[in-house]
Amino acid sequence: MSADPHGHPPQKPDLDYSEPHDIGRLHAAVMREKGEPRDGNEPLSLWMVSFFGAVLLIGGIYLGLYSGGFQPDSYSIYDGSMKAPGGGAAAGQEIVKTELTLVQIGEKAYKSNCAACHQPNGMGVAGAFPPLAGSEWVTKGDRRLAQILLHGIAGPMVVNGITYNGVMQSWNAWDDKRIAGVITYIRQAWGNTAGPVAPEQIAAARAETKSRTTNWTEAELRAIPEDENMPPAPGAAPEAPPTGDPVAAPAAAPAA
Amino acid sequence: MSATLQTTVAKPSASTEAEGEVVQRVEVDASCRIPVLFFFSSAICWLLLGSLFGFLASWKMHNPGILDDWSWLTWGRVRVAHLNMVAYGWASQAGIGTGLWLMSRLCRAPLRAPGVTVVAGIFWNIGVTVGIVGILAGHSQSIEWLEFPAYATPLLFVAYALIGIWAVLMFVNRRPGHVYVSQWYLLAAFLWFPWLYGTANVLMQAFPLKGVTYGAVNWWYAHNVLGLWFTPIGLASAYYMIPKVIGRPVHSYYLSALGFWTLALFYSWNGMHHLIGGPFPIWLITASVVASFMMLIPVLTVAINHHMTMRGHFGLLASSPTLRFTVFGAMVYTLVSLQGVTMAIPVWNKITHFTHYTVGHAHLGMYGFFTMTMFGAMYYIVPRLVGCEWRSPLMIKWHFWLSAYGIIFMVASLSLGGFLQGSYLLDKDYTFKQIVEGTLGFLQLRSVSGIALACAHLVFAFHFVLMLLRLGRKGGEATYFNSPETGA
Amino acid sequence: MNSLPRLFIGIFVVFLFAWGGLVAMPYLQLGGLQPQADEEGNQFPPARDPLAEEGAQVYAANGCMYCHSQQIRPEYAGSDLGREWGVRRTVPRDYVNDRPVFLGTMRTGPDLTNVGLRLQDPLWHHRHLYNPQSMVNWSIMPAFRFLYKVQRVKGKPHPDGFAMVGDPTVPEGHEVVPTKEAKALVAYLISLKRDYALKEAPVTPTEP
Repeated sequence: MSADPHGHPPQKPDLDYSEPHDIGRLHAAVMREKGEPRDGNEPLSLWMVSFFGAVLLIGGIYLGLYSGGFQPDSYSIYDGSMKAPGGGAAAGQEIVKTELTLVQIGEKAYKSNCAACHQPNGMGVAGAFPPLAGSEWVTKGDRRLAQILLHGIAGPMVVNGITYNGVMQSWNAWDDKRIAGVITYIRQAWGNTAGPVAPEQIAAARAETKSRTTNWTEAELRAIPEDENMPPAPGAAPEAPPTGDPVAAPAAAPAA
Repeated sequence: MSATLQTTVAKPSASTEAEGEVVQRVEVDASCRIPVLFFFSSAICWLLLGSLFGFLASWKMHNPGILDDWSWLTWGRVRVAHLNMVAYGWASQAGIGTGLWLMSRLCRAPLRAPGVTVVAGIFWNIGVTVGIVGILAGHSQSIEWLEFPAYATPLLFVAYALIGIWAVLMFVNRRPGHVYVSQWYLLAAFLWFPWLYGTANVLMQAFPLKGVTYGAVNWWYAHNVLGLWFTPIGLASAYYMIPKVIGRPVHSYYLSALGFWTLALFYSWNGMHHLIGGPFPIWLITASVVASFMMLIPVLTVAINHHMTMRGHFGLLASSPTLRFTVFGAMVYTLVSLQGVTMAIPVWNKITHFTHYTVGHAHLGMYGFFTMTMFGAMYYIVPRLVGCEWRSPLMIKWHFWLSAYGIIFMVASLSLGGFLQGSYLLDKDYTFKQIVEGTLGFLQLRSVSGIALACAHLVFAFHFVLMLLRLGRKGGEATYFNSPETGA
Repeated sequence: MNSLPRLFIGIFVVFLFAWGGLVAMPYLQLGGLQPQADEEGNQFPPARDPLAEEGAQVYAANGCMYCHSQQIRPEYAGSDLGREWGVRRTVPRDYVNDRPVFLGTMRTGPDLTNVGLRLQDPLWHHRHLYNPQSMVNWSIMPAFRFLYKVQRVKGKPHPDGFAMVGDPTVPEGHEVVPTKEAKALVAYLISLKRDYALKEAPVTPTEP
């Protein structure tokens, strides 16, 4: 074997592992190793101990403050010893939000709930969900529109000359303010220029049809004239006298 | 012959230690050879597959239409398969191979009946394979880190039982004398893992657990697999390789002891920090937040211990691959753990929870710390098992830089993207559309980094295969990046 | 620390301590939770019907949880309520019927705790699962076409079938028919709602 380029004398050949018991010829890698690792004896420094003590203290304080008494039904950090900021809110209660206008309420609700089908731009989805932008169902009378929000609509429906055949769920669970907000929003979005509605009007519309348990069909809704608006809220400027209630009959089972 | 090896470090080199010590080490290496090479080979195969699936999952996130015809390749299964491949296929087996060798060396006790551990390893691989196929076929349990279907887990548990028993037996049969810090970590890891894996699986399969207690058990397990299985093995390797290669003792026994026990005490309570704000009694969440904060203690202890050991020898990082990979891993350990402490603080958690930031953190830990440390260990151990040296310093260099830049780039893109995502999520006036569109670019960058990592692994795998085939360099010197000043 | 017994005891005790805190204590405190019943005997949360339970298995099999969470955080912990993802935060009792729980840790997609309140139309869900971009054009959700069969309309359309106009995977004259798995999954999604009040989780009035 020749000397390697660094000028070391020739090495013996490496251990041949086909003869595992031949440990007389030692492995070069093991040979050149340093000793197995050992522990040094440096002591812990004082600053380290102090710092770790501070960490323990801070952790302990946090644990004491925010454990809710280790109760199984304390879920909020404000249970137990801490009160919610902003003064007055009791444990577990949500913080009071600032007032929003009707349009803002409606826009928020629309984006979270309606946009999935009718799309953020109000254009709907071809063959599936009708548009709201430029739709006569939205921009003309608000009476039909309120009823659609309250009870949904199912089955074939013509919007802007195109037939859609689907189901819109009822949003009955929403309160009057939110329904009024959504209607107000969509009637003035995307180029629509129709007037707002008030929560009191929705309350009245809800009372009118409270015994209905199924979605509207287009045929039933067309019984309400296209241009008809809901009666104005008490105290609002008087509008054209309301027509007779066309939806007086209790909701029968809709025709298929 | 041995007296002619030159060293410039005034530490007893192999040439002046008792022949018996060296013979002992060779015996140990010979006994470990087949099991450890088997575990390393399996691990590297899973690393390659895991890298492929990771890349596929990443690509599908910004190009959802890719390969979306087959149910086996839907994102929700590919991502799950990736995690389990790298966790149980690559990382666990790299850890087992390294752990067995380290335990054997430090206990000065050869691995008896090594065939048993090889059989265990075969069963482990069968278990992982069955589990992965089960996930892709649609039988995932959808419990994070425990997705393997119930028919795969007993295989893993039985395989592990053999491995764990063998490792603990080596400790029991150790030569009398001082027990080194790495041995504590390894003993603990080999004991903790079966308790974790067994308990979690029994509770979730056989026990009538329902509701959110499932979540608690899930994250107790998942976080402890990181902190009580992978971390101790990684630290054991760092504690061995760093002082071994530079030839100096670890800075302080007291720091080692403090670091070990505080890790055990605090890390095990961290699990619920994955569920801050979630439907749990607040004391449970607070306990984990506090324990996560307390992790400052073991992490800084270990960092100081390693740093003070390395002080004055950082120059060796230029030459020794083992040291470079290991010190990179150890530094990232400090970084990722400090990052973890901040992420558990509720004020910061509000921003990062549910975002890609968390994914970045997970990769920084599992790859930047654990995987890089395992690479360092493998570069040290393999020549001692195959009787030849790594053939090409250039390949090692490519491996290191592709891995290092790959993981830095990946974590940077996920952290920035995740922070943006979280800030937008926190502000209710940002629509979800804006959030998704804002993070797309970062997800694309992550895919690019995945390519770098996959290339690094291909280079390493090729180099490793050369070693298995004994095509490495014969000769007495280690393979260094540059010409060495000292031996390793 | 050279003695095995001492090391073993230490290793075991710290492990047991944390197990006690994170596994045993929660089970002791929450393991006995039952749905809350009102005067009429209705249960909250209500039990899922069998099809929806099957749907939960489909949800698990396809890894939905890895993009979608199912938990509403309180006001101080995040914007979940501000985004109207729920009417109140979720509490442990909300999940007593779930095994496993899909709490989730990622919001690549929106939270689904109350998706059954926002999107009750099965057809929306079927279209969305078949081709997410058809309903949400900026979505990065993968398509689940393998849960559906595309077949030629023979005479009458299939009662569950639907048309996908303009979709390249649905040729002219074909309809998309959901498999049992798809129907189960959609039934599960529609069942996801937590709008009822519990004694430990009141519902504060909506808006403003």
